[in-house]
Amino acid sequence: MKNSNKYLIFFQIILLATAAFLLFFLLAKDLAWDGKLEMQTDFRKFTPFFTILKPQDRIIIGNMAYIQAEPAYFDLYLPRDFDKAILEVEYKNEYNYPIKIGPSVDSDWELKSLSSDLPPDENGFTIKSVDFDLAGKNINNGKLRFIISLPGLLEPDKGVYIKNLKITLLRQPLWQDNIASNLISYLKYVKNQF
Amino acid sequence: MLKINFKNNKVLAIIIQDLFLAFLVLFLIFSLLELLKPRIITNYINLNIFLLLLILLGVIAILFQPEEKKEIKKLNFLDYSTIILFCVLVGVLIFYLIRAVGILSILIGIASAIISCFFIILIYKND
Repeated sequence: MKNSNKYLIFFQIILLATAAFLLFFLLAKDLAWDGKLEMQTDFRKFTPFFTILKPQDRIIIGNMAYIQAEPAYFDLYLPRDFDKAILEVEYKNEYNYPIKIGPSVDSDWELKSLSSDLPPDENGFTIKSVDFDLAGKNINNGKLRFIISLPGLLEPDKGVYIKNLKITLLRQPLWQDNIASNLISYLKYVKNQF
Repeated sequence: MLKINFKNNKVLAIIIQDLFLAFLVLFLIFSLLELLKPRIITNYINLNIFLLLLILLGVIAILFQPEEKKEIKKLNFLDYSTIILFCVLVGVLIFYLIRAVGILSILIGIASAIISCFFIILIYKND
């Protein structure tokens, strides 16, 4: 039992270190310590950072999300304050609508065009990325609403498929910025939003 | 080379109990963090799966518990001070979380501190 005790203490230390590391890792991830946070969704179900596309009567969810009436919305949950968001959308626009996407700003939307010069792949899907400055955007309870506008979409059977959305959020990494001011801005965000 | 005699249930029981305690403490910390900042943990970890693992470990820990007759522990001044400090913290935390309720939140905070104090002393005395 004496020998076992030695191993048990070793086991307990390892267990404690693992638990502390897990906690530290999760907090560091939420702080976006490397200045980058990547997330993606196919809008088929709620994911930690995204809602599904709304309102639900304008969307059909099958193998992928199908927008049959416009506009559609989704919410993005931001764990902290970020400077910039890069959206990469994979979509199928068979009827060439001038698709626009953008976040909520005051009582309006900052819309950017999704039209792409690149030819679609063999299945008709195109990937296009747009970026947005996140300063001054309407973030409520850590949630930022985006709109997908499809002017001209009037017939439900002539909609647009959204296969995937990848968002990369960027800010100063923890080691480049002043660590104290970085942590203060995180705490301020938490205090103001939650 | 790790040579633990797993036929000796005491060692296995201690390992499982330690695992259960680690999971329990982590779960409590995670839940507290989730209350203070929603999605801080659930963005990265599914807490339902974590809770399921915790329950499973708890069940296994009970099954492996060696049957021993234990003496009732006597608490010293340090034990009482620690327990009271912990309970005050619990009370303050609960008050903070439900402060929007108003004056009732103070009463609930005090009540929860007293209840947790009784429970901890009861558990501590029975080890």
